[in-house]
Amino acid sequence: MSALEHADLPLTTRRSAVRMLPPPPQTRTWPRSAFPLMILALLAIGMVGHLALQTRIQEQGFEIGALQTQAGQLSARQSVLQAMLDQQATPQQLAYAASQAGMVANPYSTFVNLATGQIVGLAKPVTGTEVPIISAAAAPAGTIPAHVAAEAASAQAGPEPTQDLA
Amino acid sequence: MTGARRQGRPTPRRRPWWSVRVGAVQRRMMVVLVVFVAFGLVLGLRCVYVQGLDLAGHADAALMPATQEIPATRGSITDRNGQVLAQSTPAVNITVDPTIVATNGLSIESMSLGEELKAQAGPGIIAAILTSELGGDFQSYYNKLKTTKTGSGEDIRYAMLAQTVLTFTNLQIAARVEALGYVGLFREQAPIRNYPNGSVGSNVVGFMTHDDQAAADGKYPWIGGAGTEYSLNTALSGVDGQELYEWSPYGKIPTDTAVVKEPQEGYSYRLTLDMGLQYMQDKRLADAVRQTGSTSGKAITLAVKTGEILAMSNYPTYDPNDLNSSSPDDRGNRAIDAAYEPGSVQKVLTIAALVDQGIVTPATKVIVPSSVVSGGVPIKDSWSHDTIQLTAAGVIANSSNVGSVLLARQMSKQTMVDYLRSFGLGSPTDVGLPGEASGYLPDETMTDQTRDNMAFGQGLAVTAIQEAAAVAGIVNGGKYVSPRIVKSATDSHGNAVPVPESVTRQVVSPETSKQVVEMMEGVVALNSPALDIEGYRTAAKSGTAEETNPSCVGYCAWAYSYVGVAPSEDPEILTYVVLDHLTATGSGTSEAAPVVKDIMSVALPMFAVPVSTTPASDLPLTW
Repeated sequence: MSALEHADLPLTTRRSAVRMLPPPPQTRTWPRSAFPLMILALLAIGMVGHLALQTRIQEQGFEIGALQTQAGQLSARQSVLQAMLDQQATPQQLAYAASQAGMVANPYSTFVNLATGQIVGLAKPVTGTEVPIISAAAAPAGTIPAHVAAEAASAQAGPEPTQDLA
Repeated sequence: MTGARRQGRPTPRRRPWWSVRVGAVQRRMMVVLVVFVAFGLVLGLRCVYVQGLDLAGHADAALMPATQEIPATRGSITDRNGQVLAQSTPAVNITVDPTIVATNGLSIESMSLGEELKAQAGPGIIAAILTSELGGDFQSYYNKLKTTKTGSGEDIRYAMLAQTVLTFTNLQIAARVEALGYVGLFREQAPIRNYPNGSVGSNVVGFMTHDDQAAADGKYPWIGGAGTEYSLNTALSGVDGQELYEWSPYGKIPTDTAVVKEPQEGYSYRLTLDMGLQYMQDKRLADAVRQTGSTSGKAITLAVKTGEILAMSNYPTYDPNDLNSSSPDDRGNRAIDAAYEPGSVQKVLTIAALVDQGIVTPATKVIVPSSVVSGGVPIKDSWSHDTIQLTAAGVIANSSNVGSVLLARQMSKQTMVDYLRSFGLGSPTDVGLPGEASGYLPDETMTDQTRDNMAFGQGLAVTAIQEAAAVAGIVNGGKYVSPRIVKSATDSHGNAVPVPESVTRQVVSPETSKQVVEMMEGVVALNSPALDIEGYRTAAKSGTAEETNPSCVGYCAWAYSYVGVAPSEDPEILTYVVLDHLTATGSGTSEAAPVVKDIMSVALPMFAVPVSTTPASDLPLTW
């Protein structure tokens, strides 16, 4: 359709072909200050979160430090107690303790042959003088000072670890 | 015209040279690319410089101030049953920086009056705490805490307050000092080597000694000084680790701590010793040395079949926990480092070589005159006699020097030396202990006189461990098993670590072995019941040898010895005792034999050796 084809139409009719478009829908606009505020809010949330996290980490750091100290104390105490135990387990200490308990050495071994049930040996009572090697000598001095041994033996284990870290 | 142009399209401002027109994407990308490439190039060049051109300088700058040695824990030493012989216990040296104590760690300009008064009281309070926890002299602690300047006016930043304080005790001290709000004490790791058995077995276990070079290098200055502590030092010590960390003005930053190399903990060793037997053997030997007036003594108990040393004793000895109270002469191990002429115990080796060659049997008849001349010198027996008729068994039982010489002359010197060498004489046994002597074994070019002397144990030198192992090899079906002190080893995770095994070789035939043991039974039979071990057939040989001694000239001392083996029908345990004398007071039979008997009486049931069920051999000793 060309413009010449409409030449016979009245002017008004030709004009009506140009229509008014409806206005665009009104969009809500944020005030210009919203964006900086939002950034500030995010920053504040981040800082508070960081602070909370940092505080918690520090708390746990102290807790870990305290537990490490406690572990060190317990480890030190254990080493002293172990040394005391080793001392108590020495043959001379056992010989002394046995003699104090009224025991004497018996060198006359007797063996039972499990295959035949035969008893081989020379079991007989002893008077205590048969093995002059073992004597009721005084207990040897320990290598851990007596007062340290006493402290280690009576030391408190310290507080129990808290449940969430246990 | 100009005005209209201005209104319609304003003239763009002239851009600076570095700006890029909006929309010129290609050009913008090119610019960004160039910037990135230039940046990368700079970083790359810096990397090449740091990593390649100035590596040492930067590594040193980065590491030196921020690394710390992490000492490896020294392995433990136990006996065959796990009884602890040597163990490290955590301990520290307590040091002080008196300049810190003087201000209690504060800046002197900013201190309040109260803080100043508190700092002034510090040395006295800390010294009192140290005195109550460690003992010692209050004034000595106080002076070290209080003295901040040297005589020439320089600051004292370091003083040693107490050495090798148990970590447990140090923590008590630190807690008390900290609770009162004082600072200035420091600690250095200095583990204590703890020997729960004291002097029992100490000559085998050894002790720790101070290494000045290590101290100068800032390393842990204690190393093994003797015994297994010395021979196994490298493996026991492990390898120190290294910690890398950063510092701030307030000290170490814990979050930046990074262990770059974990320490490799030392291996732990299990010895062949049985401390129950060791304790009794030590005690019996000490009693014997004191009672017989000997200058020293040594005793070895071996497991014949395995070569394991069940006990090895010396007297006089030392306590490794209290080294200063002993003589340096007593801190070795005479059983392996002292060579001596073995005397008549050597006749066991002589007769074994002769029997093994088929030259001699226990029944071989020997006409033994009162003496035999060798190199112009008469050799006699220890008892006076006219010409007597002994069997070879009788020569051993009576310990006839003359008879031994006459028998030994029937083999060549070369053969004799070869046998003695195969028995382990003349070279260390590689028992696993330091300082082992080779002894002295003449070669085949020896004189006839030396050959004659060697037949009864003079003219050559052995160590106690050589002689014990040689006799053990002969009685063990003729199979020599080199003695050893290390049974097994483990790393810090409990995994087994290989240890040297015994060397074994057949030195005489099983039949020879049996005949020699039966001849040795004659020694016990002649001294029955004094040397009998109830329930067990026992074979033995005594020795009484002349010795040299540093305290006198020529052959002026005596070594009394006795070796016992039981049960004779299947030997399991051998005990050898040597007592050194400066005066002729007795013999091996009178002095050393009772010691062997007592030790074996305990050792045999202890190792569950079944009692004998067959009678002892009864070989004819005369004809």
